[in-house]
This record gives sequence, structure tokens and C-alpha cells, in this order.
Amino acid sequence: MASRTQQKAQARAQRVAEERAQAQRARRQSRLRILAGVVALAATVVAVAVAISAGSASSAPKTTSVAAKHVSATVNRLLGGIPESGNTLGSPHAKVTLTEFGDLKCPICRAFALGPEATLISKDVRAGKVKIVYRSLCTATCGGPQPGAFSTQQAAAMAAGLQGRAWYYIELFYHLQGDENTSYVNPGFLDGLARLVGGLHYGKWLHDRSSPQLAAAVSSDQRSAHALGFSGTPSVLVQGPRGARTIPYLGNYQTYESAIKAVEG
Amino acid sequence: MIAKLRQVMLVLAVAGLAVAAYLTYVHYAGVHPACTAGQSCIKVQTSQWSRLAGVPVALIGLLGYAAIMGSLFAPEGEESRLATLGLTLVGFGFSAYLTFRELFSIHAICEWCVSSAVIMTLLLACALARYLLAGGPAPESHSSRYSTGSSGRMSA
Repeated sequence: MASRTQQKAQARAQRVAEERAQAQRARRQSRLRILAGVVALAATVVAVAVAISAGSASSAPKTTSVAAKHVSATVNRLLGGIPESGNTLGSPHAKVTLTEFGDLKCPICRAFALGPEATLISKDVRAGKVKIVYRSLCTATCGGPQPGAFSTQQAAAMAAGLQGRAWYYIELFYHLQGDENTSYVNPGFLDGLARLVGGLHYGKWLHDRSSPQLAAAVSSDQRSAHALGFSGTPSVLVQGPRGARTIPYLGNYQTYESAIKAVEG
Repeated sequence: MIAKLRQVMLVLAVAGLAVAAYLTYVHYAGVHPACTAGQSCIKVQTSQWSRLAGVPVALIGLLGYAAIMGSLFAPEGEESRLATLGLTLVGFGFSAYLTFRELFSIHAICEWCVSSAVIMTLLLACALARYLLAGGPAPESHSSRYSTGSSGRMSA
């Protein structure tokens, strides 16, 4: 028989053990609630980020938005005052010719246009040292959902070139470029770009853009690119009095500047 | 164990920080990233998924890894462990989303981005283990005193 003191001690130990177990349970539950809260908060943050990302990417490019007007102003500042003829930007007397083979739907070409090419235009082309010729090579468009649009979109830019406005059209296309995996190139988008190009006679452009000569020129550009061994865009050919250099990938400004220095007289 | 997990996480965070710093540099310098898979990295880096509200995701990753590192340097405690867990959860979720975009929208894989996603997954696993292990039944002085007392009495 346990003594009264022992019984008291046992009861006390049992009570303390129960209290401790209860406290542990409560603590565990509280920690799980906090963990669930943190998971919910993290999920909310990720959901918001995904919504922002998906929202900005899935929307088709709009040529009538306020942002598009700002883009147009940026392009005008970049190209304003630089001579243009056909698909060539820059002085016809420039010693160095940089030929870009591009696809208007290609995001890497966009990176080139908004990055090193913009610097080349601001510095070398504006100074009359270099002229840039735009030619066509199907890459992103041919690997996307509307390969048939390639000739149409490239010819639309060339049609603007018949009025000395090809580069305005090309730059606007790259700035407002949509997701390469969507079919955003349609008459509405192409027309919208044309309407953003200052000084472009819309009726004439609309007529010219379906010209078979321009479609043939696009095909001819592709044959030239393949003959040079180019298979990706942007691919660049730099020619000058001291020879030629090819840059078949996206480089930085120094990459192109080095090639220009190597070929200029 | 918890101290070891923290050390492992610090190493992972440094690795993640280095990857994110390189991708941020590539983005702003306009150079093409070192890539064994041809132009895949450039394709991912220049895609419209490479920015979030105009901010390069590489920069967001850089800030994320810096924040994780900051939480690891904070004094060991429930709050700092929760902060690390929360940050790695967000990082893991967004990395998973970007990997999904690489596979199904961009159709190109950037090995730098995959490395970052793997690092973030390991960080999340460590952060979860660190939080759960820290909350396990701690050896309490009451418990040892009672058992010792009890056995002492029995053997007496």
C-alpha cells in the first residue's frame, strides 16, 4: 500500500505530466497555425507575382495605348535626323556597313534592337561612320504558331522603307513586340504600327505591303543569310574597306564596335 | 543539427546569390550568358517572362537571396527561422512558376535559372527541416528531475 505522501506525490507527478503534455500540444498547434499562416502568406505573394507576370505577358501588344505613343516618341528621338533609304539607316557615304539579319518576332532581336543596336545608332550611325541595313531571316516566327506571317510582317516594314520609314516601323515593332508563341501578328497590329510612324502615307503603305516584289525580297534575304552561314537571329555582317566580320549571335556594344574598328579604313 | 542546417543554408544562399548576381550583370551589361545549350539562355533572358512589372527577375532573385542570407544572420530564434522559411517558400513558388514558363511558354531551358531553382528548392527543404526540428520536444529539466527522483527512490 502506498503511503498518503506517496499517493500525493504520484497525483502531483501525473498532474504535472498532463499539464506538460497539454502545454506541448498547445504549443505544437500554435506553431502549426503560424506555419499555415506563413505558407498562406507566401502563396499569396507568389500568386500576386504570377498574376502580374502572366497579365503583362499574355496581353497582346496594343498600338493605340498611351504606352505605344511614348514608344513612338522614343523611336522618333532615336532616329530623328538620320538619313534613311529603303531598308538602310544612315549616311550613304558611311565607310562601314552593318547588315542585320533579323526576325521581327524574335525576342533576341528585340534585345539587340533595344540594347547594343540603339547605342550603335546613337553613336556610330548618327556620326555618319556606320550605316545599318535590315534584312530578313525567319527564326522565331517560323518556330512559332504563325510561320506564314513572316513574309507579311517583314514586307510591312519594307513597305514603310519605300517611303524612307522602314527603321521607324522596325523599331516600333521590336519595342511593342508580343509573345513569340502567340498569333498577335494580324492586320490590326501591322496597321496600328503603321499609324504610329510619323510621315507615313498609310494608303500607299497598305497598297505596297502586299507587293510581290517585297515578298520576293524577303525570300532573297533568307537565301543570302543561308549563303553566309547564318541560321540564328540577330546575325550581323560588318563590312568596310579592310574586309568583313560576321557576328552570328547577340553581342554587347563592344562586340560590334570591335568589328567596326577592324574593318574601317 | 539546427546549427549545421543553418551552415548548409548559408552556403546555398551564397551560391544562389552568385548565380543571381551573374544573371543580373548579364541583363544590365547586355552580354550573352555563358551557356552550353546554344542560345537557350539568351532566349530565356530576353523573353518577356524575364521581367516582373519591368524589374528583371534576376534582380528580384538577387534581392531574395540577400534577404534569405539576412534572415540566416539574424539571431537564432522562432522568428528568424519563420522568416527564412517564408522567404524560401516565396522563392520556391516563383522559381517553380518560372521553370514552368521555360518549359511550356519559352520552350528553352536556361541552366543558370535551373541552378537557381534547384538551390531554392534545397533552401526550402533545409528551412522547413530547421523550423520543424527546432520545435520538437526539447529535453526539459522537469522531466529529467522527476525521472531521476523516481528511480532514485525506487532504488533506495
